[in-house]
Amino acid sequence: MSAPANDDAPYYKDLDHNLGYKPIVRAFTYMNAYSVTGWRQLPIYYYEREWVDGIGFAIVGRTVTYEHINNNTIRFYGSQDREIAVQLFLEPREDAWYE
Amino acid sequence: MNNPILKVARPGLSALSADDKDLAFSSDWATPKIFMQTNSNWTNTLGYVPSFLGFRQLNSDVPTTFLSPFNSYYKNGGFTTSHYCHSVPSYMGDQIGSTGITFNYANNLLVSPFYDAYTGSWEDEDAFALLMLEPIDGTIPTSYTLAGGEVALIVGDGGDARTNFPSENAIDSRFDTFKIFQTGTLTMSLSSETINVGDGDSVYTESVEHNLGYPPVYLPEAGVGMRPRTQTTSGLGASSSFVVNDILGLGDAWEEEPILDVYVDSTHLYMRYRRQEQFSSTSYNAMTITLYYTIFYNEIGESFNYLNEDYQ
Repeated sequence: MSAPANDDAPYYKDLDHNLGYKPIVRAFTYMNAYSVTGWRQLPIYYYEREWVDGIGFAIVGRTVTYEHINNNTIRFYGSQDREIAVQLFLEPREDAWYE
Repeated sequence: MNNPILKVARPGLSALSADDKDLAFSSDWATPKIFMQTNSNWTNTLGYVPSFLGFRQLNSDVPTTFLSPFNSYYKNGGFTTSHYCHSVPSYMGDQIGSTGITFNYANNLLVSPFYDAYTGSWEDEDAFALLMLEPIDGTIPTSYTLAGGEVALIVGDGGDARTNFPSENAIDSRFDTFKIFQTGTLTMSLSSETINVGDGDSVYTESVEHNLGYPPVYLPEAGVGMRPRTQTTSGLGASSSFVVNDILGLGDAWEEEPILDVYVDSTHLYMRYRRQEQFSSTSYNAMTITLYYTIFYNEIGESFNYLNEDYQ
Protein backbone atom coordinates (compact mmCIF):
# COMPACT_ATOMS: atom_id res chain seq x y z
CA MET A 1 0.00 0.00 0.00
CA SER A 2 1.48 3.35 -0.95
CA ALA A 3 -0.45 6.52 -1.63
CA PRO A 4 -3.35 8.22 0.16
CA ALA A 5 -6.82 7.20 -1.03
CA ASN A 6 -9.67 8.01 1.35
CA ASP A 7 -10.36 8.22 5.06
CA ASP A 8 -11.56 4.63 5.42
CA ALA A 9 -8.79 3.13 3.35
CA PRO A 10 -5.96 5.64 3.27
CA TYR A 11 -3.53 3.67 1.10
CA TYR A 12 -3.74 1.86 -2.18
CA LYS A 13 -1.68 -0.40 -4.39
CA ASP A 14 -2.24 -1.24 -8.05
CA LEU A 15 -2.17 -4.74 -9.51
CA ASP A 16 -1.49 -4.76 -13.25
CA HIS A 17 -2.91 -7.87 -14.92
CA ASN A 18 -2.92 -6.46 -18.48
CA LEU A 19 -5.73 -8.79 -19.61
CA GLY A 20 -7.42 -6.03 -21.57
CA TYR A 21 -10.71 -6.62 -19.73
CA LYS A 22 -11.93 -6.63 -16.14
CA PRO A 23 -11.63 -10.11 -14.64
CA ILE A 24 -13.57 -11.59 -11.73
CA VAL A 25 -11.57 -10.85 -8.58
CA ARG A 26 -11.34 -12.81 -5.33
CA ALA A 27 -9.27 -11.30 -2.57
CA PHE A 28 -8.57 -11.91 1.11
CA THR A 29 -6.75 -10.24 3.96
CA TYR A 30 -5.74 -11.17 7.48
CA MET A 31 -7.49 -8.97 10.01
CA ASN A 32 -6.16 -8.30 13.46
CA ALA A 33 -8.33 -5.45 14.58
CA TYR A 34 -11.01 -4.52 17.01
CA SER A 35 -13.50 -7.43 17.08
CA VAL A 36 -12.07 -9.49 14.23
CA THR A 37 -9.00 -11.70 13.91
CA GLY A 38 -8.42 -13.99 10.98
CA TRP A 39 -8.65 -14.27 7.20
CA ARG A 40 -11.64 -12.54 5.66
CA GLN A 41 -12.74 -12.07 2.10
CA LEU A 42 -12.78 -8.61 0.58
CA PRO A 43 -14.52 -6.26 0.68
CA ILE A 44 -14.38 -5.88 4.42
CA TYR A 45 -15.53 -3.10 6.72
CA TYR A 46 -14.15 -3.19 10.23
CA TYR A 47 -13.43 -1.11 13.26
CA GLU A 48 -10.24 -0.33 15.07
CA ARG A 49 -9.11 1.82 17.95
CA GLU A 50 -7.35 5.02 17.02
CA TRP A 51 -6.02 7.91 19.05
CA VAL A 52 -7.74 11.17 18.11
CA ASP A 53 -6.27 14.39 19.50
CA GLY A 54 -8.74 16.13 21.78
CA ILE A 55 -10.94 13.07 22.02
CA GLY A 56 -8.76 10.17 23.10
CA PHE A 57 -9.20 6.64 21.81
CA ALA A 58 -11.99 6.39 19.28
CA ILE A 59 -13.47 3.48 17.36
CA VAL A 60 -13.14 4.31 13.68
CA GLY A 61 -14.41 2.54 10.58
CA ARG A 62 -11.94 1.13 8.07
CA THR A 63 -12.31 -0.67 4.75
CA VAL A 64 -10.22 -2.99 2.64
CA THR A 65 -11.56 -3.09 -0.86
CA TYR A 66 -10.70 -2.82 -4.53
CA GLU A 67 -11.84 -1.40 -7.84
CA HIS A 68 -11.03 -1.85 -11.50
CA ILE A 69 -9.54 1.48 -12.51
CA ASN A 70 -9.33 0.35 -16.14
CA ASN A 71 -9.21 -2.88 -18.19
CA ASN A 72 -5.68 -3.68 -17.11
CA THR A 73 -5.34 -2.60 -13.49
CA ILE A 74 -7.07 -3.32 -10.19
CA ARG A 75 -6.56 -0.89 -7.31
CA PHE A 76 -6.67 -2.29 -3.78
CA TYR A 77 -7.39 0.06 -0.88
CA GLY A 78 -6.55 -0.45 2.76
CA SER A 79 -4.23 0.46 5.59
CA GLN A 80 -0.47 0.81 5.39
CA ASP A 81 1.50 -2.45 5.10
CA ARG A 82 -1.63 -4.54 4.70
CA GLU A 83 -1.13 -7.78 2.80
CA ILE A 84 -3.85 -8.92 0.42
CA ALA A 85 -4.05 -12.35 -1.20
CA VAL A 86 -5.58 -12.07 -4.68
CA GLN A 87 -7.03 -14.70 -6.99
CA LEU A 88 -8.04 -13.54 -10.46
CA PHE A 89 -10.42 -15.58 -12.54
CA LEU A 90 -9.72 -15.68 -16.25
CA GLU A 91 -13.42 -15.05 -16.78
CA PRO A 92 -14.38 -11.41 -17.20
CA ARG A 93 -16.79 -9.94 -14.68
CA GLU A 94 -19.08 -9.07 -17.61
CA ASP A 95 -20.32 -11.86 -19.88
CA ALA A 96 -18.24 -14.54 -18.18
CA TRP A 97 -20.03 -17.18 -20.23
CA TYR A 98 -22.96 -16.48 -22.53
CA GLU A 99 -25.20 -13.43 -22.33
CA MET B 1 9.22 -32.05 -21.79
CA ASN B 2 6.27 -29.88 -21.03
CA ASN B 3 2.93 -31.47 -20.27
CA PRO B 4 0.44 -31.39 -23.15
CA ILE B 5 -2.34 -28.82 -22.89
CA LEU B 6 -5.96 -29.91 -23.02
CA LYS B 7 -8.40 -27.30 -24.28
CA VAL B 8 -12.18 -27.55 -24.66
CA ALA B 9 -13.90 -24.97 -26.82
CA ARG B 10 -17.37 -23.60 -26.37
CA PRO B 11 -19.86 -24.45 -29.12
CA GLY B 12 -19.12 -22.36 -32.19
CA LEU B 13 -15.51 -21.65 -31.27
CA SER B 14 -12.24 -23.36 -32.11
CA ALA B 15 -9.94 -24.44 -29.31
CA LEU B 16 -7.04 -23.60 -31.60
CA SER B 17 -7.92 -19.96 -32.02
CA ALA B 18 -10.26 -18.89 -29.21
CA ASP B 19 -8.94 -16.67 -26.45
CA ASP B 20 -8.41 -18.57 -23.22
CA LYS B 21 -11.21 -16.63 -21.55
CA ASP B 22 -13.62 -17.93 -24.18
CA LEU B 23 -12.76 -21.59 -23.68
CA ALA B 24 -14.91 -23.97 -21.67
CA PHE B 25 -11.74 -25.43 -20.17
CA SER B 26 -7.97 -25.14 -20.48
CA SER B 27 -5.45 -27.15 -18.47
CA ASP B 28 -3.17 -24.12 -18.79
CA TRP B 29 -5.17 -22.55 -15.99
CA ALA B 30 -6.09 -23.69 -12.51
CA THR B 31 -9.70 -24.66 -11.97
CA PRO B 32 -11.13 -24.08 -8.49
CA LYS B 33 -11.67 -27.35 -6.60
CA ILE B 34 -14.47 -27.12 -4.08
CA PHE B 35 -13.83 -29.64 -1.33
CA MET B 36 -16.36 -28.61 1.27
CA GLN B 37 -19.56 -26.72 1.84
CA THR B 38 -20.73 -26.40 5.41
CA ASN B 39 -22.67 -24.33 7.91
CA SER B 40 -20.43 -25.50 10.78
CA ASN B 41 -17.04 -24.67 12.17
CA TRP B 42 -14.28 -26.87 10.80
CA THR B 43 -10.89 -27.84 12.20
CA ASN B 44 -8.58 -27.29 9.28
CA THR B 45 -6.55 -30.39 8.45
CA LEU B 46 -4.91 -29.00 5.30
CA GLY B 47 -2.07 -27.12 6.96
CA TYR B 48 -2.77 -23.95 4.99
CA VAL B 49 -5.60 -21.47 4.54
CA PRO B 50 -7.84 -22.38 1.60
CA SER B 51 -9.77 -19.98 -0.57
CA PHE B 52 -13.40 -19.56 0.44
CA LEU B 53 -16.74 -17.90 -0.17
CA GLY B 54 -19.28 -17.07 2.52
CA PHE B 55 -23.05 -16.76 2.34
CA ARG B 56 -25.85 -15.56 4.58
CA GLN B 57 -29.31 -17.06 4.86
CA LEU B 58 -31.63 -14.19 5.78
CA ASN B 59 -34.97 -14.17 7.58
CA SER B 60 -37.83 -11.87 8.43
CA ASP B 61 -35.95 -10.24 11.32
CA VAL B 62 -33.09 -8.89 9.21
CA PRO B 63 -33.31 -5.10 8.89
CA THR B 64 -32.44 -2.82 6.02
CA THR B 65 -30.03 -0.93 8.21
CA PHE B 66 -27.43 -1.78 10.80
CA LEU B 67 -29.41 -0.37 13.67
CA SER B 68 -31.54 -2.29 16.09
CA PRO B 69 -35.34 -2.24 16.24
CA PHE B 70 -35.04 0.04 19.24
CA ASN B 71 -33.55 2.75 17.08
CA SER B 72 -35.82 5.02 15.10
CA TYR B 73 -33.94 4.24 11.89
CA TYR B 74 -34.79 0.56 12.03
CA LYS B 75 -36.72 -0.77 9.07
CA ASN B 76 -37.50 -4.37 8.43
CA GLY B 77 -35.74 -5.61 5.32
CA GLY B 78 -38.63 -7.66 4.00
CA PHE B 79 -36.52 -10.78 3.65
CA THR B 80 -37.49 -14.40 4.32
CA THR B 81 -35.57 -17.60 4.94
CA SER B 82 -35.68 -18.28 1.20
CA HIS B 83 -33.30 -15.36 0.59
CA TYR B 84 -29.52 -15.76 0.49
CA CYS B 85 -26.64 -13.39 -0.23
CA HIS B 86 -22.90 -13.09 0.06
CA SER B 87 -21.41 -12.76 3.52
CA VAL B 88 -19.80 -9.40 2.91
CA PRO B 89 -19.98 -6.30 5.09
CA SER B 90 -22.99 -4.10 5.10
CA TYR B 91 -24.17 -1.27 7.22
CA MET B 92 -25.77 -3.84 9.41
CA GLY B 93 -22.16 -3.99 10.32
CA ASP B 94 -21.15 -2.57 13.67
CA GLN B 95 -21.54 -5.97 15.16
CA ILE B 96 -20.27 -7.99 12.23
CA GLY B 97 -16.59 -7.98 13.08
CA SER B 98 -16.38 -11.44 14.53
CA THR B 99 -19.32 -12.94 12.67
CA GLY B 100 -19.57 -14.19 9.12
CA ILE B 101 -16.95 -16.50 7.61
CA THR B 102 -13.40 -16.35 9.02
CA PHE B 103 -10.31 -18.49 9.05
CA ASN B 104 -9.03 -17.63 12.51
CA TYR B 105 -5.53 -17.22 13.93
CA ALA B 106 -5.17 -21.04 14.08
CA ASN B 107 -6.34 -21.33 10.45
CA ASN B 108 -9.58 -23.02 11.49
CA LEU B 109 -12.91 -22.14 9.89
CA LEU B 110 -15.42 -20.18 11.95
CA VAL B 111 -18.97 -20.00 10.60
CA SER B 112 -21.13 -17.52 12.47
CA PRO B 113 -24.44 -15.98 11.35
CA PHE B 114 -24.59 -12.18 11.40
CA TYR B 115 -26.50 -10.85 14.38
CA ASP B 116 -27.18 -7.73 16.39
CA ALA B 117 -24.65 -7.90 19.19
CA TYR B 118 -26.10 -4.84 20.91
CA THR B 119 -29.61 -6.02 21.57
CA GLY B 120 -29.85 -9.53 20.19
CA SER B 121 -32.90 -8.32 18.33
CA TRP B 122 -32.08 -10.06 15.07
CA GLU B 123 -29.84 -12.83 13.79
CA ASP B 124 -29.44 -14.36 10.35
CA GLU B 125 -31.09 -17.71 9.83
CA ASP B 126 -27.78 -19.38 9.03
CA ALA B 127 -24.32 -18.96 7.49
CA PHE B 128 -22.58 -21.11 4.90
CA ALA B 129 -19.00 -21.50 3.75
CA LEU B 130 -17.78 -22.84 0.42
CA LEU B 131 -14.14 -23.94 0.59
CA MET B 132 -11.72 -24.44 -2.28
CA LEU B 133 -8.39 -26.25 -2.21
CA GLU B 134 -6.54 -23.32 -3.75
CA PRO B 135 -4.45 -21.68 -1.00
CA ILE B 136 -4.57 -18.05 0.04
CA ASP B 137 -1.91 -18.42 2.73
CA GLY B 138 0.59 -21.08 3.69
CA THR B 139 2.17 -24.00 1.87
CA ILE B 140 0.34 -26.94 0.33
CA PRO B 141 1.29 -30.31 1.83
CA THR B 142 3.71 -32.64 0.10
CA SER B 143 1.68 -35.64 1.20
CA TYR B 144 -1.95 -35.86 2.17
CA THR B 145 -4.31 -38.83 2.41
CA LEU B 146 -7.47 -38.31 0.41
CA ALA B 147 -10.51 -40.48 -0.12
CA GLY B 148 -9.72 -43.47 -2.29
CA GLY B 149 -11.42 -44.85 -5.38
CA GLU B 150 -11.30 -44.16 -9.08
CA VAL B 151 -10.33 -40.63 -10.02
CA ALA B 152 -9.80 -38.65 -13.20
CA LEU B 153 -6.84 -36.27 -13.12
CA ILE B 154 -5.57 -33.70 -15.63
CA VAL B 155 -2.22 -32.18 -14.87
CA GLY B 156 -1.80 -28.42 -14.90
CA ASP B 157 1.37 -26.58 -15.78
CA GLY B 158 3.78 -28.82 -13.96
CA GLY B 159 4.51 -32.00 -12.08
CA ASP B 160 2.85 -35.37 -12.24
CA ALA B 161 -0.91 -35.52 -11.89
CA ARG B 162 -0.64 -38.69 -9.80
CA THR B 163 1.64 -37.17 -7.18
CA ASN B 164 0.66 -33.50 -7.27
CA PHE B 165 -1.46 -32.18 -4.47
CA PRO B 166 -4.92 -31.73 -6.04
CA SER B 167 -4.73 -27.91 -6.05
CA GLU B 168 -1.74 -28.21 -8.41
CA ASN B 169 -3.70 -30.18 -11.00
CA ALA B 170 -6.09 -28.68 -13.52
CA ILE B 171 -8.80 -31.27 -12.85
CA ASP B 172 -9.37 -33.71 -9.99
CA SER B 173 -12.70 -35.52 -10.20
CA ARG B 174 -12.84 -36.02 -6.44
CA PHE B 175 -13.86 -32.40 -6.05
CA ASP B 176 -16.58 -30.09 -7.23
CA THR B 177 -15.95 -26.93 -9.24
CA PHE B 178 -17.89 -23.90 -10.42
CA LYS B 179 -20.26 -24.49 -13.30
CA ILE B 180 -21.68 -21.37 -14.90
CA PHE B 181 -25.42 -21.50 -15.51
CA GLN B 182 -26.04 -17.99 -16.80
CA THR B 183 -24.29 -14.68 -17.33
CA GLY B 184 -25.92 -11.36 -17.98
CA THR B 185 -26.42 -7.72 -17.19
CA LEU B 186 -29.16 -6.46 -14.90
CA THR B 187 -29.93 -2.77 -15.32
CA MET B 188 -32.06 -0.49 -13.16
CA SER B 189 -32.97 2.93 -14.55
CA LEU B 190 -34.19 5.37 -11.93
CA SER B 191 -35.91 8.67 -12.61
CA SER B 192 -35.14 11.79 -10.63
CA GLU B 193 -37.53 12.29 -7.75
CA THR B 194 -38.09 14.24 -4.58
CA ILE B 195 -39.05 12.39 -1.43
CA ASN B 196 -40.80 14.58 1.11
CA VAL B 197 -41.14 13.91 4.80
CA GLY B 198 -44.01 11.49 5.21
CA ASP B 199 -43.73 10.02 1.72
CA GLY B 200 -41.94 6.89 2.92
CA ASP B 201 -39.09 5.18 1.10
CA SER B 202 -39.06 4.55 -2.63
CA VAL B 203 -38.06 0.95 -3.28
CA TYR B 204 -37.15 -0.40 -6.72
CA THR B 205 -36.44 -4.00 -7.65
CA GLU B 206 -35.09 -5.66 -10.77
CA SER B 207 -34.60 -9.37 -11.07
CA VAL B 208 -33.48 -12.11 -13.40
CA GLU B 209 -35.24 -15.46 -13.44
CA HIS B 210 -33.11 -18.58 -13.13
CA ASN B 211 -35.69 -21.15 -11.89
CA LEU B 212 -33.03 -23.57 -10.67
CA GLY B 213 -35.24 -24.61 -7.77
CA TYR B 214 -32.58 -23.76 -5.18
CA PRO B 215 -30.56 -20.67 -4.24
CA PRO B 216 -27.52 -20.68 -6.54
CA VAL B 217 -24.03 -19.35 -5.96
CA TYR B 218 -23.59 -16.08 -7.82
CA LEU B 219 -21.08 -13.32 -8.43
CA PRO B 220 -20.21 -10.56 -7.79
CA GLU B 221 -19.77 -10.80 -4.03
CA ALA B 222 -22.60 -8.42 -3.30
CA GLY B 223 -24.93 -8.72 -0.35
CA VAL B 224 -27.71 -6.81 1.35
CA GLY B 225 -27.58 -3.53 3.22
CA MET B 226 -24.83 -2.12 1.01
CA ARG B 227 -24.14 1.60 0.75
CA PRO B 228 -22.24 2.08 -2.50
CA ARG B 229 -19.11 4.15 -2.02
CA THR B 230 -19.88 6.32 -5.01
CA GLN B 231 -22.84 7.73 -3.17
CA THR B 232 -20.87 8.97 -0.25
CA THR B 233 -18.82 11.56 -2.06
CA SER B 234 -21.57 14.07 -2.61
CA GLY B 235 -23.55 13.98 0.56
CA LEU B 236 -27.01 12.86 1.48
CA GLY B 237 -29.36 12.14 -1.34
CA ALA B 238 -26.83 12.81 -4.04
CA SER B 239 -26.24 9.94 -6.38
CA SER B 240 -24.79 9.05 -9.73
CA SER B 241 -24.86 6.03 -11.99
CA PHE B 242 -22.62 3.14 -11.02
CA VAL B 243 -21.72 -0.47 -11.73
CA VAL B 244 -22.37 -2.69 -8.69
CA ASN B 245 -19.26 -4.75 -9.41
CA ASP B 246 -17.20 -1.58 -8.93
CA ILE B 247 -18.55 -0.51 -5.56
CA LEU B 248 -18.43 -3.62 -3.45
CA GLY B 249 -16.47 -1.83 -0.76
CA LEU B 250 -18.17 0.48 1.68
CA GLY B 251 -17.32 3.91 2.88
CA ASP B 252 -18.56 6.32 5.49
CA ALA B 253 -22.26 6.89 5.02
CA TRP B 254 -25.23 8.28 6.79
CA GLU B 255 -28.02 6.06 7.94
CA GLU B 256 -30.42 7.79 5.58
CA GLU B 257 -28.49 7.15 2.39
CA PRO B 258 -29.78 4.77 -0.29
CA ILE B 259 -29.37 1.07 0.31
CA LEU B 260 -28.50 -1.56 -2.29
CA ASP B 261 -29.42 -5.22 -1.86
CA VAL B 262 -28.33 -8.12 -4.08
CA TYR B 263 -29.66 -11.56 -3.15
CA VAL B 264 -31.08 -14.79 -4.57
CA ASP B 265 -33.80 -17.31 -3.90
CA SER B 266 -34.77 -20.53 -5.68
CA THR B 267 -36.16 -18.70 -8.71
CA HIS B 268 -34.54 -15.26 -9.09
CA LEU B 269 -31.51 -13.07 -8.59
CA TYR B 270 -32.67 -9.71 -7.21
CA MET B 271 -31.23 -6.21 -7.19
CA ARG B 272 -33.14 -3.84 -4.92
CA TYR B 273 -32.48 -0.15 -4.36
CA ARG B 274 -34.06 1.86 -1.57
CA ARG B 275 -34.15 5.65 -1.57
CA GLN B 276 -34.92 6.53 2.00
CA GLU B 277 -37.21 9.19 3.36
CA GLN B 278 -35.10 11.62 5.34
CA PHE B 279 -35.66 14.32 7.94
CA SER B 280 -36.21 16.90 5.23
CA SER B 281 -37.29 16.90 1.61
CA THR B 282 -34.59 15.26 -0.50
CA SER B 283 -34.04 15.25 -4.25
CA TYR B 284 -32.49 12.27 -5.98
CA ASN B 285 -30.82 12.35 -9.37
CA ALA B 286 -31.80 10.19 -12.31
CA MET B 287 -29.34 7.33 -12.46
CA THR B 288 -28.64 3.87 -13.80
CA ILE B 289 -27.41 0.94 -11.73
CA THR B 290 -25.73 -1.89 -13.63
CA LEU B 291 -24.99 -5.37 -12.29
CA TYR B 292 -22.86 -7.79 -14.28
CA TYR B 293 -23.92 -11.09 -12.80
CA THR B 294 -22.84 -14.70 -13.10
CA ILE B 295 -25.11 -17.43 -11.76
CA PHE B 296 -23.61 -20.86 -11.12
CA TYR B 297 -25.23 -24.28 -10.94
CA ASN B 298 -23.67 -24.69 -7.49
CA GLU B 299 -26.15 -24.50 -4.63
CA ILE B 300 -25.78 -22.31 -1.56
CA GLY B 301 -26.56 -24.34 1.53
CA GLU B 302 -25.51 -27.70 0.17
CA SER B 303 -23.33 -29.64 2.63
CA PHE B 304 -20.52 -32.01 1.71
CA ASN B 305 -16.93 -32.83 2.58
CA TYR B 306 -14.93 -34.41 -0.23
CA LEU B 307 -11.70 -34.55 1.75
CA ASN B 308 -12.84 -37.87 3.15
CA GLU B 309 -15.73 -40.24 2.73
CA ASP B 310 -17.66 -38.99 5.71
CA TYR B 311 -20.39 -37.10 3.92
CA GLN B 312 -22.35 -34.74 6.11
